[in-house]
Amino acid sequence: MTLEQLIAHFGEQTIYRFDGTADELSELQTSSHNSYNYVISQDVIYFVAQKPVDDSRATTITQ
Amino acid sequence: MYAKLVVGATAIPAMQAMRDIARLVTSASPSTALLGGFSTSSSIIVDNTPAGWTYVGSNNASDRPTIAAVGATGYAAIDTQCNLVMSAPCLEGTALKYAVLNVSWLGTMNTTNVYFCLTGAVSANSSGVCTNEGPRFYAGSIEGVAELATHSLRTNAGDIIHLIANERGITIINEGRGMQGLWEMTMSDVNRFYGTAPFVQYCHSDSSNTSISTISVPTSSTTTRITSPCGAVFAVTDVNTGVFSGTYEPSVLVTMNLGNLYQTMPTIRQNSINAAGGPRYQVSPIWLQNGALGHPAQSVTGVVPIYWTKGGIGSTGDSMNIGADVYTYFNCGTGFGLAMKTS
Repeated sequence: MTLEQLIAHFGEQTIYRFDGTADELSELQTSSHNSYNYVISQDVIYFVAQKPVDDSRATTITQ
Repeated sequence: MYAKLVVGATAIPAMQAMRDIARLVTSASPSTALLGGFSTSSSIIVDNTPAGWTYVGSNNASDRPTIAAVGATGYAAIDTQCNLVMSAPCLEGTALKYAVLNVSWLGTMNTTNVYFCLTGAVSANSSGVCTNEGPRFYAGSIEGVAELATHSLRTNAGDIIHLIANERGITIINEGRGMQGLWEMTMSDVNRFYGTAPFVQYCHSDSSNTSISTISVPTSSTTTRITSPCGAVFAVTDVNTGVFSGTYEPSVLVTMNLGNLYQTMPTIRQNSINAAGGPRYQVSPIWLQNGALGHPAQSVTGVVPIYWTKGGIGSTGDSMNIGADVYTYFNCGTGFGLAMKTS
């Protein structure tokens, strides 16, 4: 997915790229009580969350 | 299970309404004794067959591990998300459907806060943390309470809610106004291959409003939303590209995605005739096809006993003969109606 496609999918909110697996993302978000939605494109996870995410594996790609 | 829930002369806080609904849907013995917000004298449990959903939890401490007791007023703090999560199995496979009730406006949780909504999710835990929850707008206390009116179910004074639920789905109808539903669909080979649950979320709280909100995830709002219908399917993979979407909004790529999920044309079901030339109304089965993802057509009708009708063809409770079966008509406002079996 292109950045434009990700923005079209998630809307105007902070989108993160996650450098890890879906299980690792689940563990991160569950431990921080932070609901989230994600897509996987070419084995890369992009996600949005209800609250800001502060983890070295989560890189902001939009604000 | 079918419950006619009457608000009465005083508005009900959204959280109280959500608790009443969740208690009924997850109860082994639905009754008006489970109501702490809706009127126990005016509300009726028309069919008390257990709906078969299981309570999962909430992000509000007062509602875990069980829903707060009838009469409880412990609510989440201002600007804190507040949900109640339930799950149910599907006809086939092991993947569950998750249904989430959410407070729409995050201001004070008193009777001025009467808006809530129903979403689906791919999974959730007992603390109310949802993974791939379906679309809804929510707004903080700094916003106006009615900014999300067209996107939310409502429990103002005088409102009536019809709750129809079984393991195949949950339908919540605001009498004369709109509805929100979480419905299982027919299983496809794509669902079977990926081990996913076939279900769809469709929210259309103001049936007179036909502008689609093309959102696929919970979205914070800072303005009055003038759109209404929104929907999603869950945990879908584009079989040609391999792209996985936790939620996918079926109205996108309308030239490739088909179906009649979105009710945006109130005049589409003009009156018809029978073979003798006598008058008859038209009904439509609910179905969709995410053809852009390489998915086949999937039907809600047949799994959930439900049809779209034209709006304003009768009064809630009227009987409708559809084929050899008898359905009940529900007034959802001017945009459309629903014909459902309630037992």
